Amino acid sequence: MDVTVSGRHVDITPAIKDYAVRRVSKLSKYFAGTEKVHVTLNVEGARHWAEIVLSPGKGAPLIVAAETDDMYATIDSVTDKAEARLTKYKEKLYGRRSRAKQAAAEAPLPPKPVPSQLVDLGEGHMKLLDFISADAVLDDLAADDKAGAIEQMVQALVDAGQLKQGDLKGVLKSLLRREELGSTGIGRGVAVPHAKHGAVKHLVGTVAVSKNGIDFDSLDGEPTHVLFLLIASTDPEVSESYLKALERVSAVIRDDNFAKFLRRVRGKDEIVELLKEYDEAE
Amino acid sequence: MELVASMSIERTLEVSNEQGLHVRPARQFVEIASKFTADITVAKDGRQVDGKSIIAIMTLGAHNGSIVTIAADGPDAQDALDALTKVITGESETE
Repeated sequence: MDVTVSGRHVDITPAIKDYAVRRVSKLSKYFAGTEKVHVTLNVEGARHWAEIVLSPGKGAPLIVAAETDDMYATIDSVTDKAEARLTKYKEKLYGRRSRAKQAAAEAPLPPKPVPSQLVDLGEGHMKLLDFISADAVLDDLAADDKAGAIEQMVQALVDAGQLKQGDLKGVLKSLLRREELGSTGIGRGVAVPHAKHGAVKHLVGTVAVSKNGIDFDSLDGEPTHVLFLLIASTDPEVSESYLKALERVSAVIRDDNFAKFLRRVRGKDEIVELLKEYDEAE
Repeated sequence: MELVASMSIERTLEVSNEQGLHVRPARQFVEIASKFTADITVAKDGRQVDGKSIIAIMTLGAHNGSIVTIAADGPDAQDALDALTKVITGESETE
């Protein structure tokens, strides 16, 4: 297991980094050996925060984070969390076994990459419907410009009870500001407007289809017909999930059929069915 | 007959760009990569994708701290690699 630690704050001493490496290295009993583990330590005032990213040979990485007011306690906490997740998944794979059997199973390297599968799907794999609110899906966007489209989607989230009406303006501002930094029109007729905002405590999202197409100033110059909107929490422990959501969206878009089908279906329910199909196909 | 020396090189780096290679930095990466004639690929954990496709790059999940390998194949491979290294290490980030 390859463990690296990064932490740029002056309070993060070499002793602390060593401690992090020692504690995290104990997770090696869950793996065959070639996994990369990166620990990030950060200090912001009284907040001592750590994040572990476990990158298996294949599949999505496992990310856990923890925060306390003491870095040693944080390192303990985040390692415990990682261990809990790994144990849970291992139990899923192997079922309840006696200790002896489990030790025997761990000792020799299995021929198939089972330890990689430990973090592949299940815990690390995010599904579209994990973050897309079915009630906020729009099957025929009336707006014909970028700001209008984004506003319609945010309003849909308010109407679906995912956001308060009073937060709409603030969220909209954050989304449009993000667009100014660089269009989220990633090409292939898809856009992924997103922003972090205090109005949400966890990742909230929706999808909308525009039959006529909207000029999103996309990378490939093509009009946008499918929009995935994501609003992430500003809480660092939770905000990483929006990156996983974007990864999931990108993976799904790579399938040429996805956008095609999405534009062909009629009605909110059919869109949700399509998303479910793609989620279950993995 | 003139032969143009074509290089095929690769470089393995740690992604030290703060947000990792997601949307905005991925876009920057692709915009720069597209300027070169060399074929560009980015690989992570054994998966290799087209470095000129933002969607492909986003599927890699190259978060901050992850290890990626950029490969460039073509006459301007070296320049491409140098320019793209800056994006991955966050040197060319403008905030």
